[in-house]
Amino acid sequence: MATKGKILIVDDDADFAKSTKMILLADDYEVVIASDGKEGLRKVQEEKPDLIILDIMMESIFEGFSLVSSLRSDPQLAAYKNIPILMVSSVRSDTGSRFAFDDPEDMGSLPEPDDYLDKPFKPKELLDRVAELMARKRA
Amino acid sequence: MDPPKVLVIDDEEIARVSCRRVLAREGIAVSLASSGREGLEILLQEPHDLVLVDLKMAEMDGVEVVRRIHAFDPGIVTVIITGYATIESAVAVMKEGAYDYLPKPFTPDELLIVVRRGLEKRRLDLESRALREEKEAMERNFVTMVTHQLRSPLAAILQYFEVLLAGIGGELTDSQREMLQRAKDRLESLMALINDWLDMSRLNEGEIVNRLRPVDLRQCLDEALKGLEWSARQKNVSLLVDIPQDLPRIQADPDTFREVLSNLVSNAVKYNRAGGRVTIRARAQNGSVRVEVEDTGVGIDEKEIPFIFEQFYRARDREVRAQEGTGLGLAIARKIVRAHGGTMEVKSRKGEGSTFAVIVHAAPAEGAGKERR
Repeated sequence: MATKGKILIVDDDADFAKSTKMILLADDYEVVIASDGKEGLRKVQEEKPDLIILDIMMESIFEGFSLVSSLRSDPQLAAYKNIPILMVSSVRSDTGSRFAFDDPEDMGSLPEPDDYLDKPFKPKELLDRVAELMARKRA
Repeated sequence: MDPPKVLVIDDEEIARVSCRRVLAREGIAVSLASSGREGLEILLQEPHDLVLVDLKMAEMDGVEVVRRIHAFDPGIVTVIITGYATIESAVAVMKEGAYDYLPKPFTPDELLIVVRRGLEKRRLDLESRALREEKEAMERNFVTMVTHQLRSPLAAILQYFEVLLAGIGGELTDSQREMLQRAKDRLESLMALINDWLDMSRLNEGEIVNRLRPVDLRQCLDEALKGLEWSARQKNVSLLVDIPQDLPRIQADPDTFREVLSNLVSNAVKYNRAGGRVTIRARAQNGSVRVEVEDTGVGIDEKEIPFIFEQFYRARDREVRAQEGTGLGLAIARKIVRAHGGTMEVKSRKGEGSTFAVIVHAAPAEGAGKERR
């Protein structure tokens, strides 16, 4: 059966990855899971997903962000530069896509994902964002 | 590990070369400079752990060299080399921050003892600085890390409930659905408790004071109401706003003051009766602005009023307990208002409703024109 697209979930919380996968499967997406940033980078190249759902806080605070910045700026990964990235986190975002650290200097200048969603999310919320990002990519 | 780096500044070539020979045998990387100026240039290019400085030099004397080194990096250990006749001035240099001195002539062993001790001090300094920085970074990010540790498992559980309740993974019977919904509600109130508690511990009065600036109350209130209109409609409670056009701006930190307003209005909606009313009024009173949030709800027992601002206090009333709540909202609000230099007041009649008032300073007058954010 033709799917609506292939989505890579990068999250070290296996339960979260699983429930997210179920939501996406129920809406006819194909889903691949990676449990850390390194595996994520490998699967991006192997699977060539149409969209990446990325948890900000994997093992270290910055693992998620470093994956974004590799994908966006590493010349060797230029082929994957335009894959939309939806960041998710259970650290509440007080200010749009930038989530809150007490000291903004700890954040430095970080690459911006295409969209951001707080965990947990409602199935419909996720599917709406995913559909919108996919449409934007095709446009 | 990198070998320690020592710079020798001495205008006598024999002294420089013999220092280098002795120190190099110990595996120390040695640079040489024949004048204070040259030495300082080397330090600018490359960091060193320890500097040996001859006190008596023609161009720039040792006291000045030590002073400049410390102005540039107080962490560099400096040792003064001096002839017997100038021990007193060596003491003077130590007052300038030199770590030790070495009287001339010295044996290789004497040189090594002084340098090793200096390097040991340098190593300890660096270690304690690294530890201190690590500790500060941990303290800064502590709340964020705790947030993550507490919220992550809850988020994963809630997500499963969302999936099940959406019917993904199979149809549910009514009673299964009801139980899952209850479980989800309880988890959500636990999540709210964690959020409130984190807000409370993250609140920093000093930072609020630094962010105080003139704020348009109307605008701040509009933003606070955005998230509440839906729950007011759900409860069939009407929201009325009565703020005079010429109300002076308030001196406030917009982000936290909005929290206060949204907290009070959300309480006023939550503890109201169906078909009730919430009125938000403001008026200027000699240098201050008084904001009132009045509801037509269950009211508060007079005996309980002194306690309602305390952390985790919740009124005993059955109608109050029927609502989900963390008992932290008013404690947070009062903490914020106090950081604004303001006060809170409450009037209430059991069964008729409550009025919460916040009194904060009006912004110092300067020109007309509205603040745009």
